[in-house]
Formats: sequence, structure tokens, C-alpha cells
Amino acid sequence: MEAQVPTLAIVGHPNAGKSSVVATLTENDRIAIDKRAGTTTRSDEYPVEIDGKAVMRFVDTPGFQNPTDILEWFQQHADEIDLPRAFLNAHTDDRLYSHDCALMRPLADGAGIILVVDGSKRIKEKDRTEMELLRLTGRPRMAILNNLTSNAKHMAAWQDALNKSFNSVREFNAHRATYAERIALLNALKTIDQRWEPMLHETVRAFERDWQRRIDHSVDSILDLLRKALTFKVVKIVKVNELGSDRERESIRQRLNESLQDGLRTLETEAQTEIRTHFKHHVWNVAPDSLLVKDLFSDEVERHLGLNRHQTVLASAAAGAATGGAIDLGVGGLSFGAGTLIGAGVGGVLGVLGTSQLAKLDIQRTLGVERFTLGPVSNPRFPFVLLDRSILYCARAMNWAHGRQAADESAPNRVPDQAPKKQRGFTEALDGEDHKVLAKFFAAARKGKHSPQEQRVREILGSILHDLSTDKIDSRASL
Amino acid sequence: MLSLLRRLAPNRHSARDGKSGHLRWQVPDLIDFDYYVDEDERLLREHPAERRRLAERDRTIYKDRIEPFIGDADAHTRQHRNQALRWWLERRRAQEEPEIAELLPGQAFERAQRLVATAMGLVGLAIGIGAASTLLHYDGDHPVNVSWYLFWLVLFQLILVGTTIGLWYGRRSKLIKGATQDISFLGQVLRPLFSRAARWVQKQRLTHVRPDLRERAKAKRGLMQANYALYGPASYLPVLVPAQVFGIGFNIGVIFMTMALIWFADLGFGWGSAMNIRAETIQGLIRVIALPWSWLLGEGVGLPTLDQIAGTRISLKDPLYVLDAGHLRSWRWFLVLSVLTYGLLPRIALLGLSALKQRRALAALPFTHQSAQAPYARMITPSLETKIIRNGEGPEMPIPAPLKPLSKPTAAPRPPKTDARVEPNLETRSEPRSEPRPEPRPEPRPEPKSEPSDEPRTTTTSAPSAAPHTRSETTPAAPSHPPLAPEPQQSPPAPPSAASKPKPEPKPEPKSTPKPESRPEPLPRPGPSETSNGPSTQPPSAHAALERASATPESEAPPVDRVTVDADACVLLLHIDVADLLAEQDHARLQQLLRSQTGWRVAAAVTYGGGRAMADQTVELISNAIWSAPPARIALIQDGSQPPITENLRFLRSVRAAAGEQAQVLLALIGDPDDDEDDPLPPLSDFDFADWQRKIEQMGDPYLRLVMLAPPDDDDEAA
Repeated sequence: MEAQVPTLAIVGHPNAGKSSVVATLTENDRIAIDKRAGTTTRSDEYPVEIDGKAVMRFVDTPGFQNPTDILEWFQQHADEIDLPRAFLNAHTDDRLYSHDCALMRPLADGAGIILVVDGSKRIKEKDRTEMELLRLTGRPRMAILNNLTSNAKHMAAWQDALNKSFNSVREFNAHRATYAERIALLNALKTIDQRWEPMLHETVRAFERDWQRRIDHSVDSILDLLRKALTFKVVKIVKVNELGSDRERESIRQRLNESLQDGLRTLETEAQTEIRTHFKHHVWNVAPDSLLVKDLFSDEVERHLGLNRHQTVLASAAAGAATGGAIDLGVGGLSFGAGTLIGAGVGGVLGVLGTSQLAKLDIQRTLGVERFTLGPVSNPRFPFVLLDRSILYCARAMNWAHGRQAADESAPNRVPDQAPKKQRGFTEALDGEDHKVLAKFFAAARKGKHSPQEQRVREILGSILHDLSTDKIDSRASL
Repeated sequence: MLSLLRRLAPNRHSARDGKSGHLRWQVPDLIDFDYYVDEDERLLREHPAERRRLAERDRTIYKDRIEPFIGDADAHTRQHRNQALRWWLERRRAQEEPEIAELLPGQAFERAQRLVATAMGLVGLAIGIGAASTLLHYDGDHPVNVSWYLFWLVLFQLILVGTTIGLWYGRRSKLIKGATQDISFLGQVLRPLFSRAARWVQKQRLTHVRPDLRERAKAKRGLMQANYALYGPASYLPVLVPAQVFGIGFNIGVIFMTMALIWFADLGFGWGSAMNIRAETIQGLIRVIALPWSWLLGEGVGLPTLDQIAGTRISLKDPLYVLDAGHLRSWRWFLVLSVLTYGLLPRIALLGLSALKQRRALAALPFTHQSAQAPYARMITPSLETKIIRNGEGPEMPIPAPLKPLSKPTAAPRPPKTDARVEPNLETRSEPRSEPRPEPRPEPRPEPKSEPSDEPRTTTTSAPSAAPHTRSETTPAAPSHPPLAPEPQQSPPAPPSAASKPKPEPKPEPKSTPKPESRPEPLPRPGPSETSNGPSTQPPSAHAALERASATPESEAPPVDRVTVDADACVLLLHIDVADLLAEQDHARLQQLLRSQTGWRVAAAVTYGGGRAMADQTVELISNAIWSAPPARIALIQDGSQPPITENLRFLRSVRAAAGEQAQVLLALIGDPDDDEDDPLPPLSDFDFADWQRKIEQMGDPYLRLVMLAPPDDDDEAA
């Protein structure tokens, strides 16, 4: 039984990116990846378990240290039936071959081969030697062209060379591979050994279901965030006699505003942590110019995410005047020129929200005490901005390869993240009907009510996330 | 009565059907289910990190204890979902401690339901008795008027039953829906009653719980009601059952009281009308009413005869004694049978119908609502995990030890100014095996004269111009080595290798020796003819490379057996990857670069890196070269964009062994050539260079110098 578990040894010469490939394939960013050569010194195993039962196994191996000798030894012992085993037996005590033996061991045990080559570099003599010796092992084998740079000049030559000795050759950027690419790679593994097909089929299905589950969980997290954010308010009670002037009142208002924003930021961070956990990320860094690093209430975020003015008005109107902000915004739209003039004079205290404020301040006076309540957020655009940010975050989490930890982000020729097109928010791209559904959901959430739209909202978000992971929707990598 | 109730509201232990694996949903189950789902949701809200644990728990429950019963084939169907969740509930309950399990809301609800039903039955009984005794009140002056009895206890009840059935079947029409909701006595009165009773039951139970469990048990309270909206009829049917029980109790009370009065008192029954109704009309009516039982208990027993009917007509003017006593009594069984048939039996039928409906409704629950999706998804989604099995730290990349002869004293004495050309390598490299070689060596020594002629050949055109002025800068570098050489070197190379020496030695030797010997004479120089027939293992490209690489040396070096190397020249070892890419004109640049690094000209060039045979040839060449101004000078040029591997280091060791301990060996690295740049000798990235540096340092070879052939900036030229 154990023997039938498809086992794949990831081989290649040192620094070809084997560990990155394993990390990405198994979504494990705890695999130590060191850019220095020869970091992997032992064959660590990475079983994929479904319900505790191993269905396939990857073995990360050290790089070839003596490929020429191995090849020559293979050629001299061509009559051996099991070359890897014979080689292992002959060299097991030789210190100089310790890495080669560690590499050969899984092959001797019947593992298939995934050769990882660095497609950005020219084919070298050593590469040819390795291809040839792997061909001689007679094991099912696939080659991965791991091109971490934008240099694609050698790719065709690699394809040709690899095609001669390998059952399957695939391009796979261990630092950029998306979910869809990982699944495609796993599917391709079926072709290199037919006996593995059922097991791999099951594995791929499990991966797909697992992915769907993560999407569902992320949708849960996002909805939860929206619900919390839309009911969040800050309260401050001040004795009337302590309130000297309107200036103090204004400063209270300022402070409340700050703590409202802080509270919302915290909520967002919590949700992001949750989402990151769903996608099994421990190590992770967002590009410094990403919108995700920017403050939730900054101008850029407001400009790029959420609905445009027109859409907001339509959607909020559909949700009923409950939001109140719809009217503000409607007026703001009509008196646009004047609004901007005034806005410029006052200075954008609430940059995110344009002409309309984030939340309404409510002051209640009772028994010598004034009770200042700011919130919940009444701005009709805010939930869309927040939702867009969350989706953007999911997109980043979904498409952030686990092997990327070692990526040299500063390398001049690394694969650029997708070229920036005209970038809009995710929700802006939805149709009006969906906007209305969302707006209604937000309106209900504001009142803390269960909305009949929730199911539909769930579907909308689920399909956005699903399309993101299958590259049907652009992930706005430049945002 | 109680046993009947138990059967109608079966508890979960009897819920199992005959065929194993099938569990039925009961209303208490729904309540418990909602309770558990709610508990999980709350947990997740408060601790999102628990998601994983919950998923594991539910998946384990499903895999171990549900799937074996219900299978996995029809997952996602209504039936499967229904059963999987029912079993899930069963397993969840089983995980509770028995004492706490008793306190689950569903359990409490079940008990409360029984309690309420019993109470309703008793109340019904009492009211029935009261009603019957009121209606049968007999003062002795006038016979009891059966019309009232029949109207209230038969017709009215029939109307109620009819209404109930009518409402039930018409419940989907809007009109009735609105009406029933408003006047819903069931919902308004019974539901709070249930909740209150259930809470009371829980409270009673709680006092019996062990103190240590009490706190936990308290958490199980609350949430007494299932989410009615989600479960539709299944949720309000349980309220219907006690209503029927009430009706049954009432009718039983009536019958009981009627019988009792008939039994213990002499009742006279009669009928009257102010209108001119004939006894025959009444008889017709009576016959219709008595249809259900008249076949068994005919006229005179089950229903009064025409005479008896006519004889019990009450008229105000007649006193009671005018009427015949037998006639007056003749109605009694008719009344009892009427209540039995039209009061009790329909209620029993309704009770059965309610139970049936409830059962059907429960069995048909789809469980597709949001909160039920979560546990189902957790159960049927296989857990997918990628683990790491660490096999511990392995040995670092092996660094080959220096080859044996190195530390021999013979190697050391060479450098001092013996102006005659020596082959430093002779003894070092081959002393055990290549004895034949040393002999021929002496003769070529007088060859120094060929030196000047060598120069133009190797450096082709650019050499003359480049050589003079570069040499001035780099000469210091070259001389700097000899001074170091004499004393210290003997020990340094040894220590790093000392530990590992015994092992590696046997290996490289057998490998490197047999081949050169078998070959005719690889020694002279890297002529293309020899190399091409030698290493049969080389891929075609290697041959081509060789030819190209050797093009330069060929033109210059005469077909002598040995290369003669001048004092300012070196042997160039060109890696096949580099040689592959060099065009004719690039050689000039290569030599220029080399000269700027070392001040050496190239006396001879040879390619390596294409297999053992090639390596041996190279070593042979070095061994046999005739060096003016020893120690030997060797420059290796290699692509450094791939990190060093043992194989590279071993080759360096064998070069060292061949060239002698103090031979100046220069390893110059180039980067991966970029076609666009048109530069086959690009600089290497600092990162890659550092990688090489580390490994070369580990070799502990003080006479091995590592440089970038073409440094990116002129300043870094460290070794």
C-alpha cells in the first residue's frame, strides 16, 4: 500500500530552486529556503495527506554534486536493472557522494522524478549530464522550468532539450505560481505514470475542495468584518461643566474620529490575519507600494477602491434612504464643483470619503453629562472600499506562492508582477444589480439585522474569489 | 395514555429504524442540532483560529463513525445531508458526559413536551368531565335534552376537527395563513408554555448535577427553540400534538362521565322542538348519525327505535311521569357512541395524522440553511495536509580532500630559483602509476628557446599591445606568490583534509588512472583529434566546443608532445560551457582579461568539464608541460552562475595535484552570458561569486586564487 503512494523526488543541481518548488507545491512556507547553494543537505519528505492518509509525497533532495561521475558510472553499468539502487549500494559509504546518494535514495525506492532547472540560464554541460543520467534511471520523470526572472530567451532551448528525456515538461515559476498553475502541474503529473492517476486524481480533487473551503472561509471572514465594521461605534461621555468651549467639543470630535478609524483599522487587520491563516501563509510581505500597505483612510485607497460616485448613488438609492449618505452624496454629485472648492479650502480631514463624512456624530445631553457617539459608519462608499480592500488582500494571499519567501524582490530581472492596466476596484467591476444587493446587505448590517441578501452576497464574493484564483479576474497586482 | 404519548413523541433511543444506519430526526434533535451549531458558530466568532480544530473534529467524526454507516457515495444529496447531520448530532451528544447530556436543550424540550402533553390530557379530561356533567344535569323534572348534548359534544367537536383539517390543508393559501397566524392559539399559548416547561425541567435537572459539572451544564441552557423559520412544518407540528391530546382527554372525560352517570344514576333523555317535527324525521337523522355503528349495535341498542323516539318527545305541558321509563333510557348508548365516534376517534386520527406529518416533515428537511452547511462542509471535505518529515541535517556539501602527493616533501622544494624548467607535477601527480612518463621528460627541457615564438601565437593580435602595459600592474601579483611559497605551505593544505583524507583517496584514483593509461597518448596537448576520439561520452556539443576552443592553441603550438610554458605564460583551462560560446575574436578579449588579472599570457589552452576523459587529458597536459620559472601557472575559466559542486572542487584538486603544491592556480569566473549583450564573458553577480568564495575557502588551498574574470567595477578583485 505504502509503495503505491506516488512519490516524487525533486532533483536538480544546487540552487535550481528545488525547495521553492516544493514549498509552493505543498503550500508550506515553513520550508527553509536559502538562496545560498547547497542549503538542502538531506532529503526531507513532504507527504500530502488526505484524512491522515498519505496520497502523495514529495522529497526535496540536495543538489547533484557529481553528475558527471554518476553518468559515467551509469554508462559503465548499463546492464544493471536498477541503476539508482546499484549506484547507491556502490557509493553509500563515500563521503564525497553523500549528497548524490541522498538524492538517489528516493529514486532507488521507486520515486518519480521532478527535475527542476533554472530556465533563466543557458543550458550547461552539467545540465545535459543530469538530463541524461536521469533518463538512464528509467523512472517516470517530469521537468520543471523554474524561471524566476523575465529572461525567457533560453526557454525554447530548454524545452527542446528536456523534451528528449522527460515525459512532461512544464513551466512553473515557484515564486509566482498561482493556485491554477499548481493544480495544472499536479494534473500533469498524472501523465508521467499512469499508475498514479487514481491517487493523483484524488489529490487534485482534495486540493480543489480544500481551496473552495478556504474561499468559503474567507467569505465568512469578510462578511464578518463588514458586519462588525458597520456596527462599530465609539462613545465618549463628558461632563458638561468640563466642556469649556466649542473648541473642546471639536477636539473630542477629532479624538472620536481617530478612535473610530483606529477601531476600523484593527478590525480590518484582524480579518486580514484570519484570511492569511486560511491560505496558510506565515511568511509574507506585501510590496511597499501596494494599496494594502496604505492606510485604510488614505486618499489613494479611496481613489482606487470602492464604487465610483455614480454607482454609489445608484446602489445606495436602491438600499433605501436608510443610509442617509446617499442623499449627501447625491447633492455632492450635483454641486460637485462647489464641493471640491470647499473641500480644498477645508483640507481633506476625511480623505477617504470625499465630500461625505465617515459617520455621524450624535450628542446626547442628560443630567449634566454629554454623550458623544460617533458611528456606526454611515458613509455609503466606505463598505465598498473596505470590501475591495479585503478582496484585494485575498487576491494577494491566494496568489502569493509559498516558495516566494526567498525571492529576491529587488533583482532587476525578476518577473514583473502583471503589467498595470486600468485598475479599478473589484466591486466597481460588478454590475448594478450586484451593487444593489451589496448595498442592501450593508444597510441591513448597519442595523445589525440579518439580511435576506446575505446568501446572494456570499455567492457574489465566492465567485469573485474563485475567479481570482483561476485567473478569470485580474488580481490587481499593481494595486 | 402515557405509553401512547411516548409512542407518539418517541425519544431518540427508539428513533432508530429497523435498518441499521438510519436515524430519524425528532423535534428535540432539531433543537439540539441548532444548539450545537450555535455553539460552534460562537466559538468560531470568538476564536477564529479554532476553525481548523473544528474541521478536524468533524472530519474525524465523519470518517470514523458516520461514513461507515451511511456511505459516501451520494454526498451532497438531500438524503445524505439529512442523515450525516443526524449522525453528527448523535456523535456530538455521545461526546457529552452522560449527566450533561441529560441537560441538553433537546432533552429538556422532549421532557417538557411530554409534560405539557400530559397536562393537556389531564386538563382535557377534567373539562370533559365537567362539560358532560353540566350537560347531563338531571333535576328529575325534565329529561335531559339530547339535542344540547349532541350539539356541543358531537357537532361542535366535528366542526373543530373540520376546521383544523381545513386549516391544515388550506394553510398555504394566503387568506387562511393570515387568519391562522392571528388567532393561532397554538402558537400564542402553547409555545411559551413549552419553553417555560422545558426551562423548568432543566432547572430541576440541574439541581441533581454534580457540582463540578454544574457550571458547564449551565452553559447548556437557553436556546430552547429551534429556528422555526428554518424548519417549517416540522417545527410547529409538535405544538399540534398536545392539542390533540387535549381533545382526546376531553372526549375521554366526556365518555367517562356519561358512562358514570348512566351507571350510577337513572337519567332520562328526551328531545323536544317547538316546531312540528315528526318523529320519523328525527329517526332519519339519528340513523344517519348512527351509521358508523348501527351495523353492529342496531336499533334498540345503539340507537333508539321509532317508538322510543316518539316516546321521548318532551312537551312542556306533559309531566315527566307520562313518558315511558324504558324509552327515556333508550338514548344513552346512542349518546356515548356518538361522542366516541365523532369526538374521540377523529381526535385520535388527528393525533396520528399529526405525528405522521411531523415525521414526514422531519424526514424531508433539506438542511441547506447557512448554519447547517458549515458542519456538513466540515464533515465531507477531506482534510488536506502537507506535512514535513525532517530527516535531520545532512552533511554539508562535500569538499574533496587534496590528492595524496601534495604534502610530499618533493613538492615543496621546487619553487626556489632553479632556473631550469621543472615539471613540478611529475612526482606529485603520478608517482604511483605513471612511471613511464617521467623518463621522457628530461629532454624537452632545453626548449626554452621556443618561448618567444610562443608568445605571438597564443595572444594573437591583441596580446602585444595589452601585454606590456598590463603586465606592469599585475606583475606584483604574480611575484607575491613565490615568497609565500617556500615555507608555510606544507602544513596548511593538510589540516582541512586530514580528517577526511583516508576515504576519498581510493575513489578518485582508480577513476582517474585507468583511462589515461588505456588511451594511447593523451599527453601531448589538447589537439582536437585526440580529444574527439577519447571521451565517447561527451554530447556532440562538447566536441564542437572542443574544436573551437582548441582552435587557438592549435594554430600556435607545434605538434610537440609537451607544452612549453614561459615564465610569463600560463596554461589556460577553459570550461566547456565557456568554450562553447567563444567565437574567434572573443579569445583575444579573454586573454586580455586574463592578462589584466594576472599578467600571464596563454601558452596553451585546453577545455575541461566534459567528462572524465577530458579532465584526465587536461591533467595530463599540465603534468607534462614544461615550465620555465616554476611553479606552474594555471588559469581556469568557468561559468560561475551555477554554484560550485563537489565535482568542480575535485577537478581543482586534481589540477593542484598535477601542477604542484605551490603552483599558482587562478580560478576566474564569468557570469551567464546574455545573448543580447553580445558578451560571452560577462561579469558574475556578487551573490554567485560569494557562493564560490565560500566553497573555495573551505578547500584551504593557499595558492588558489579566485577572481571574477571581468569584474563589474574595476575595484573589486578580491580573492
